[in-house]
Amino acid sequence: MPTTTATITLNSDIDASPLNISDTTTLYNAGLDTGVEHTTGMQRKVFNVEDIAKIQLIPTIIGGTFTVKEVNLGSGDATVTHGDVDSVSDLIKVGQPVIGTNVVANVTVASVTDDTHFELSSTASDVIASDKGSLTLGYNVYTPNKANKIYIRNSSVSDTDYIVVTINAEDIGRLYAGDWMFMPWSAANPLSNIFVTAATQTSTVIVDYMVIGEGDS
Amino acid sequence: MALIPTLTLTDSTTFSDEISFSVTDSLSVTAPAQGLTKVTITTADNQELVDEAVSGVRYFFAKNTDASNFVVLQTTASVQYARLSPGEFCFFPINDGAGLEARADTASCILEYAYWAKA
Repeated sequence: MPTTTATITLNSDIDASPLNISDTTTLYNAGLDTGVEHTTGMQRKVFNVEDIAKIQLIPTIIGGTFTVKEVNLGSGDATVTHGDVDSVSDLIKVGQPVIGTNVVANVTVASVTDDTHFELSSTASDVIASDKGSLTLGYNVYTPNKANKIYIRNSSVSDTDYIVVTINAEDIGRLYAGDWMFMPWSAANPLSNIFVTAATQTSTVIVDYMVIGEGDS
Repeated sequence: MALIPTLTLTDSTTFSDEISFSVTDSLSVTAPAQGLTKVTITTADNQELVDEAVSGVRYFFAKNTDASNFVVLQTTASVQYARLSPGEFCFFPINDGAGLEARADTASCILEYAYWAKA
């Protein structure tokens, strides 16, 4: 069985009784029967001084996106009619996230009717287009609420520079230079993307990160 | 006063490229701090572990000691962002004003936790 272990030690001189925590855990898929088998590998993103906007670091989409062309979808409609350009119908699967103008948040492919039709999980808020529109679909997504963990480290060297880590629009916390975090990630829905904001950095910020867990299994 | 956290991740059997790294840090911390505490997290309600009304960044550690059930971690506004699996731990900063709550999902779990304020 795959065996990935995480060990943490915490030492502190903050109290008269110094803290000394050491703990090791094996990382399992949900259900505790199988070790985790998915990882993004260690990745790095560099934020230049001018990169002060919130930037997506880890998407819930695995494997990138593709475009569905010649889309026709009216306001209040959930049935997407599209062209089978470049045999795109071979790629469309139930559960894939759908992104596009007038497609509300958290919409996925509810069902695939045939090579030129599929149903959205929610109706469009307005007309996308007539015959010439397009939609972006993700190839796959992290299975919601499974056993995924994230490791993020601010590998910068400037003491005052920090990044803010945001999950699903919630600011989790600040990582200053050299700080790291290791925590579970629910990836509960397509909006559970992880963002980083380096709004006040005075020099280049380097962020190392990795997902290890259950992935889309 | 300093808090020295160290994380080590190892795996030599799952992936073709071995995962093996260790990272450490030195965090300047101050009062208030919550020493290592053991608390029973129930399914009945959301239990506040870090008060959002207290200003300042906190470094938060938690370990779910339950053998079979997970614990949900969320902001004090009840926005869930993580599930702590049985036996697993986490360590992360909590944003100023965000707070943290825990809730058991299936059955009560004993959670060990501690936090320290950033100096």
